[in-house]
Amino acid sequence: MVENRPFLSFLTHAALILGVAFLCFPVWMALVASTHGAEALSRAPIPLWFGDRGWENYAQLLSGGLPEAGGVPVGRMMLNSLVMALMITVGKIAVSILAAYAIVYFRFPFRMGFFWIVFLTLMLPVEVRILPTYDVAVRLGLLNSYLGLSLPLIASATATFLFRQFFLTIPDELVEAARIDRAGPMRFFRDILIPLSRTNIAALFIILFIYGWNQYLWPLLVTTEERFATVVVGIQRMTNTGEALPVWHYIMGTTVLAMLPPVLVVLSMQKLFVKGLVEQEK
Amino acid sequence: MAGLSLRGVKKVYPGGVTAVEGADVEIADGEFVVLVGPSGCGKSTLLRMVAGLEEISAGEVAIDGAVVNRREPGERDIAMVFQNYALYPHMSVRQNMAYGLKNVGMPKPEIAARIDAAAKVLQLGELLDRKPRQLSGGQRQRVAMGRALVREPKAFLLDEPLSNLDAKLRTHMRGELKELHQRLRATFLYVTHDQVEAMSLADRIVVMNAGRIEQIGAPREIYDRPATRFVAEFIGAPQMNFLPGALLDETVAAIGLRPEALSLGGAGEIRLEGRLRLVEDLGADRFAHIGLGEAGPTVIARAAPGASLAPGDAVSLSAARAAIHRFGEDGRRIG
Ligand SMILES: Nc1ncnc2c1ncn2[C@@H]1O[C@H](COP(=O)(O)OP(=O)(O)O)[C@@H](O)[C@H]1O
Ligand SMILES: [Mg+2]
Repeated sequence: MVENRPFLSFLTHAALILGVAFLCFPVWMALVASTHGAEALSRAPIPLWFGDRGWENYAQLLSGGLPEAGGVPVGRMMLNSLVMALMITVGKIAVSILAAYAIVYFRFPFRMGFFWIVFLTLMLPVEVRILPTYDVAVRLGLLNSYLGLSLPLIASATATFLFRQFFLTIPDELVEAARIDRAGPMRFFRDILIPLSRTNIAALFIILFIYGWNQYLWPLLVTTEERFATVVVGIQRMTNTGEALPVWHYIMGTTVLAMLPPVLVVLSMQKLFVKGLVEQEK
Repeated sequence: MAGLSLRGVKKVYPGGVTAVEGADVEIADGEFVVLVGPSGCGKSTLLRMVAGLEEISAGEVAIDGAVVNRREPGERDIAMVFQNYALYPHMSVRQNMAYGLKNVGMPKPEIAARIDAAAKVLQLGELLDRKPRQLSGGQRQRVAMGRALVREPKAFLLDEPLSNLDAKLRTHMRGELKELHQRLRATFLYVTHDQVEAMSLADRIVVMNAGRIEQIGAPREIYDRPATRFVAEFIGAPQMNFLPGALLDETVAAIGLRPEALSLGGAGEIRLEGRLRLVEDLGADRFAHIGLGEAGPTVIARAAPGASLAPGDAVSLSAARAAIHRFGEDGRRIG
């Protein structure tokens, strides 16, 4: 704001605070609910302030004594989610940066054809191709494995496209300087392209990690054993209690736990991300 | 250090554009040769073919006697300085200079020694640990030069290395470059569109126009005896005056007179009458623009210092007949 009018600035702040409160309210409710007992939550009005069962609830969740969650500790589910999300993220970045490298820097037959094929897969997310993908996963014996959880989700047209666009902005002169400096294709990739892509990689890492962490439909299909359950699937299982009352305090506790890793990733990568935005390297 | 020879070097781009039509240039060991010509005439293309960055459509490029047509740029033992410097943005100045040496497996102490030596020559001392973005334009230019220097190449190839600097710095760096060449006695092939740069730097100039070489010669020779009307127009500022031959009782299609060959007043073999249109005072020199007759051509003459000149004055011009450059219908020099 250029002008200094107290009323206007009050109004802006009020609007912004309202927006923040609106966005944070569900998170607040989850936090609060996870510190109460089951009875408190099944009665109206639902509590808006913390209860005294927090330690007990979280201890129960992490030790795995919950029949509603299939007896698997939430820690185990989070580990499964973490492995899946990391495999998807690292896999997607590795595959797409290599694909973009090939498409931008090498002349081979049907180069653009390949690019468009990759691009077309944007229209084929897992949900659309779920039956054939499941069929392939079964035939490859990938059910109930980390590979099965992550491999079908690894190909990424978006990331390939982003890297391609970024590579196209790297000046030809730089590539030529590297050729004169005797950097072969692998050296150029390792010593120049990857360091220059650092901030792009960080940004993609954040986005893709959250994408991987939040996967629901595919893990639900491809894992039947409890020990491979991911946390998102775990939450869904807990809500499916049939006749019995849903265990809201545990569900909300799991939700809070499930939020932590993505938050940590965002916070830790944000530094690099913002640094990259501030220090223009080109 | 070694010589370069280009024999019938031709470039046809995939789209069908012929950028260079059969260039023949012999460059001696230690010579500073400048390729000059208007933008788009194929200078960069020719240089890039020598560097190996562009495929050669026909002809041969030899470095130190060995034909290098099929060699990769890194294997030609040349160094290149680019217009935008092309420094690796994520590497420090030191790493930028070391990179090419590291890639050929040179031992670390030798790399360090070479960098120190180059840093001394180019006064890069305090800059070695900075990143390119923390450098000014002139410093970047010097680092780019340093990166070329540490390779100790057979030839230095430079593509408009000064054109991104402001005028003052450009003049300064031009001087440094010339000194560097005198110190190294290395072979330089230098591309520019700026005829002043060409005149001041070169041992020999290659003037190019539309993919063809118009003339090769020492700066003085090119200036004094331009082989074609194009060269005469391109080299020298202000430009040479062109008049129809008939105006001065010559039988040729066109005659050229440099501004400094025309004197205001005075008694030469040739006399022209006109009216002063305007005076450009550049400090050291003053150039008078003079209209010959009402609708006649305008010529530029260098005015003697001190003479008082006012637009609208009637003036007479004179020149020696020996100062005339004669060109035929085809633009070639006669005599
Ligand atoms: N990669 C290319 N593909 C097709 N034509 C090109 C390419 N590079 C340059 N040209 C053409 O070749 C001619 C000479 O270009 P260039 O050597 O860059 O000129 P200069 O350096 O003298 O300004 C120009 O007409 C230009 O349009
Ligand atoms: Mg050029």
